[in-house]
Amino acid sequence: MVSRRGHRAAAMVTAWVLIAGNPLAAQTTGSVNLGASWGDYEGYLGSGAAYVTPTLRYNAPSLSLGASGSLVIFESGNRILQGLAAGAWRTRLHGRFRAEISGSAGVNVYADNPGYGHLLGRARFHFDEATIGAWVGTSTGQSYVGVTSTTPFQIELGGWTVYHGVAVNAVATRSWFADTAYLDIVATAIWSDQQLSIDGSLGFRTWSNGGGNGVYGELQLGLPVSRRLVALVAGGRYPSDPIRGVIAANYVSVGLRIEAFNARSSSPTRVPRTFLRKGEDPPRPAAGEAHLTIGTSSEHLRSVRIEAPGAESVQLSGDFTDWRAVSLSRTRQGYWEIMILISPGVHRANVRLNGGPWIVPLGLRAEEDEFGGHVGILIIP
Amino acid sequence: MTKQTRANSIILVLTTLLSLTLTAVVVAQEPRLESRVPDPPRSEINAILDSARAVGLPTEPLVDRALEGVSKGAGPDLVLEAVRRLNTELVAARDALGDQSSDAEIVAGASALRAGASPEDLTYLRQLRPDQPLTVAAAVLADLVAVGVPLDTAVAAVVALAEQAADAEYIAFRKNVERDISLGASPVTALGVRLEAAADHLDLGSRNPAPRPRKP
Repeated sequence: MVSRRGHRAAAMVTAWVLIAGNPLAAQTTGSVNLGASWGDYEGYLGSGAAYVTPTLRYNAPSLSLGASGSLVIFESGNRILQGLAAGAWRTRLHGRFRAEISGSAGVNVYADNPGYGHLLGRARFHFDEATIGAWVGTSTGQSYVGVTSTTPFQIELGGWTVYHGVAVNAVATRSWFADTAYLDIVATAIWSDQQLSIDGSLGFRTWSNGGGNGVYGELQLGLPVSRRLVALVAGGRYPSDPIRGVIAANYVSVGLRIEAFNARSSSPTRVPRTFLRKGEDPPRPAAGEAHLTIGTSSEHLRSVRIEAPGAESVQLSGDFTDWRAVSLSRTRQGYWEIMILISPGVHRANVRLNGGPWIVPLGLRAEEDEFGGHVGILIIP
Repeated sequence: MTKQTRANSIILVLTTLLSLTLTAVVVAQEPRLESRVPDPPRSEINAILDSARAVGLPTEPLVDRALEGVSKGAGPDLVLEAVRRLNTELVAARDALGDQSSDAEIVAGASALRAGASPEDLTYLRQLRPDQPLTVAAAVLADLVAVGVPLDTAVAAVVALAEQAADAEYIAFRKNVERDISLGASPVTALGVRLEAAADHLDLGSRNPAPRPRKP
């Protein structure tokens, strides 16, 4: 719950303020969540984890700021380290309308994987009555994995109401991210009194290309133990979020929220998520690197193309050259090519730039070559 | 014909046969080694090549391995050891895949064995794809292990695709997994997602084993 609730608590706090129709007076809240969870991430075995999540927020009628972090340690010893900062600014009401601009920036590091990050901005246009309202919005920005970035885009249409103390909203969000697109329709309800708080959601994903389909939902109960201590029990399933690079999971968690100041802060106990994105090309080779691709001209005659930015000469050597160095011809700046006979099967090859050492180009699997170096493995179907 | 004449004739025939045999042995010497591989280890490698020929194994990969070592400046011992090891792997791969296997299949099988696959894995793959070449399937198995997919998970994935996937689909599968990994996905997650997509595309059903995931 760390990840998604972090986003919701910080970046979407504005929505709840508006949904509830009861803007808080300016206040700063700080809390620390800690506890244990059991998560079943798609593609992984179920695993227990321990987590600690500090959160800091500032809320005012026209401005909300939030920052949170989390450290999660799995049974395996792998860790997730996350950080998130978000803010939202709202105009005053003009009749029944107001505008809102918000943004968030976050980073995630899981185990030895490349760091993931995002920088997203969103604009919303609200129509608000006393106990009912609606909004339309759009968001975009950049999502990063390592040095690779992609521009996501979302549009949303939502509505909210307050009925007998229960704040309910429903929102439909269409998302595009690289070659992935999907529609989420989610309804959320919040209710609380002095003895208990309930935060639940139910949604489904459809009209999906690469984002999966299905129903998901979560429920969190908060039971105040003392003025600064709240016991939290949460569970459910959340969907994948390709824009933020996370995978779907089922989870249950129990924990405590220690509220350093102000009891209105709400930082949930959902288990964090790991990272997966689809539909992007891998990073381009940097100077001093090479990327090899194979094409076919006729029968076994293959075009071997190497992208090597900044190289003045490129040579290829492999079992299909009798391990003799052959020079490639420059086709345009940074690109080199040669036509050569390569039979179907598994082959071994190396590349040399500017007469330097023989390397394994990107695009080939690297394997120790038994001679103190590495060799690239090439499959020709 | 006197006994002496008959004896001379027999000796002549035997001598001729011996000469032809020796000539054949000389012809069988790998010419690609002659000018590029010093002796030692050329003689020892030629002996390995002879034994490989005798049992019907491909010799080109052995020659290639020797040339690779020499071209990379490796010493005679390293070159000879590399050729010996490959020969052993080729024997094991051919035994696992069957006598009718192509040279390319045997080489790919040897690559999979080196990656950690068992001979039983290769034999099972052969049973699942009796009429289709195994070259790409075995090579993809080795690739998946090399990019960090646990061996048993990689084997399960390749086996799951074995009956339905064409070579091009194996290649696309491996490429997508590698791409996901390069973008930050864990190998098991990437494999699981791509296998699920391939299963939808290939209508694999549920009779094939799913990859065995691990804890995060």
